[in-house]
Amino acid sequence: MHGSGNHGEFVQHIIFGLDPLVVSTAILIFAYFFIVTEKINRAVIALIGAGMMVFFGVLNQSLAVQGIDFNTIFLLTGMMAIVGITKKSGVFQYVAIKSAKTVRANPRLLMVSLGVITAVFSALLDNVTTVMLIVPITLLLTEQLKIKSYPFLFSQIFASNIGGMATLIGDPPNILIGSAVGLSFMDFVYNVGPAAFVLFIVTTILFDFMWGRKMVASLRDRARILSFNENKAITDKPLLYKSLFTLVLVLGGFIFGHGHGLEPGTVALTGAAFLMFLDGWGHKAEEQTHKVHSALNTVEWETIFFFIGLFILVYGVEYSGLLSMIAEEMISFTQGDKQLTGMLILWSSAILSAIVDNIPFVATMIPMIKAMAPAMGGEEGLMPLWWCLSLGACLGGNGSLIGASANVMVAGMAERAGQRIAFMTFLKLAFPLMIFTIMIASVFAWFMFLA
Amino acid sequence: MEFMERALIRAEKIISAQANEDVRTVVERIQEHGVRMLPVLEGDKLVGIFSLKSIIREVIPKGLTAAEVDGRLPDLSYIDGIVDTLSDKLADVESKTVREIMRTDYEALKTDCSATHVLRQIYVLGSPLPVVNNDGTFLGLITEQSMLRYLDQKYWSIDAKTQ
Repeated sequence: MHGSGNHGEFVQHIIFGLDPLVVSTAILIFAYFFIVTEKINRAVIALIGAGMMVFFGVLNQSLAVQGIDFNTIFLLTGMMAIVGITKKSGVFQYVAIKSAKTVRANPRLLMVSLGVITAVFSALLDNVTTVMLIVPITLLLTEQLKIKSYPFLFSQIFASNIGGMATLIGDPPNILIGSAVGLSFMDFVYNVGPAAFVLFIVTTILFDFMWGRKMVASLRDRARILSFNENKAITDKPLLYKSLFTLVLVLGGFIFGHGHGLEPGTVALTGAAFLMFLDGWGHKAEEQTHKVHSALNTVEWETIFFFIGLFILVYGVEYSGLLSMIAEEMISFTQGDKQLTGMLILWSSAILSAIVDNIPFVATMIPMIKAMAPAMGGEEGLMPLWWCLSLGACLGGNGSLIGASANVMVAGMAERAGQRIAFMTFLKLAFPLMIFTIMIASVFAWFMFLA
Repeated sequence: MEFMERALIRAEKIISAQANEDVRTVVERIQEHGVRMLPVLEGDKLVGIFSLKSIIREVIPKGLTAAEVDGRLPDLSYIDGIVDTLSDKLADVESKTVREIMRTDYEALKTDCSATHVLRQIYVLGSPLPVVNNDGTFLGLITEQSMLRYLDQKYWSIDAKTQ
């Protein structure tokens, strides 16, 4: 769906007769400057940049629309709506409390079990929603156990970014890559899933060594957690069954639909509509409308419009030939060497993703990597590069407190609870640890895809 | 402004708290006078709002209040088992100063605001609403009752004129 414009149809008539390459690059730099510095809301600046691409004649109306990857937009919207309805049932609180009780509120094991839950939920849902649901429970549990919450929150940030890397729908970079290249849910599970699994184990052991083994809680405090009633966390049982049924269908659709021409976006959005139908079933028309409004309100429209603007922005520079030019430069630098190109993508995407939002970075990299196809032996030859991009962009998010949206969400909630996570304190440990995970990922990528 | 003069309950008639007082003393004052909230002052400047809800907020585990979205808190029934332990927290809260737990995200009215604006604010934010002048000096409160009393007087004065 994305970026397949017929360059012969539209002749660019740029304002004042300027070079389209210069104008589109200037618009991109202008927009990215504000996105990176966060001086203006990212959705607003992306849409302004997208509008400029059309107003200044870089793209025409239909090309701009053609640049939008609706598969990604539908996938994000559908999953956000499904999760928005599901979370009302209280299932996430139930799972977290159940796991705390299963490990008898032993703080050391609790840190591991909450990490596992975060990683699994992040793989199946979006990371921001996952941490938004897990962090309050974590703060509650650590408060009751009278232990520091920081190690838990730190490990959950890592777990969410590593877990999200394991699937097509887990992290926005994967959604973008999967949609642009036509990769399936299971392609990600088979190719980057093992790396996610290994990295999760390694980081969990590290966190246990650094913090977990030293954690102590009194029996009285642990007993308090055992008195929690997880069943009471389920606030709407019928909704729970409807949501779980829909989630199973949607996951099934992701796994088996790919072979039958079903894009994930179609599966997710149809799933969302189906769940809204089930949720409203048997209710009066006004109540149904109210429920639908409330479900659609849970969609982060700011993110959706950010993506829409970003797709048009990137398509503008792609159409003008900037990205293929950079791709050629990159190929000439690496002399078409697959290993070197792969490693360059992996490391640069990791470092940059730790500093800036990884979404615009990946959105720009995708057409650039596509343009490398002739030098890399066609579409098939590009596959290792896609996996390197996924590994780098997802793991890079761990490098700083602003590296991924989930990190920002964790920091915000911790601050509201009076347990501020200092930017530099996090960076001092997270960045070297991120580099360590990238080193492991490099070894993995080398033997799995590049050697 | 005629409206403000009539609807305002002046500062000298209002029970207030100073920011450095301890919570226990102020709670006793609230109970003694049977009011819902107190304006918190530093000298004669308004710096916060204190109500019993401020204490409730402190007693509920911080992690759960951090999950509050648009004033709505997630369901808490699953922590019923620890309600008796929350009394420990109450003891801690009572020894704090008002400044530590007062609300600072309140909205204060200015003397030049219109009656319709105040009606709207009472509808949206509830009552009472503090009124300050331009340098933040606390002038008094407008409550639902004082607003209705003002409207009632307005009706009778118009009625008297037309007869």
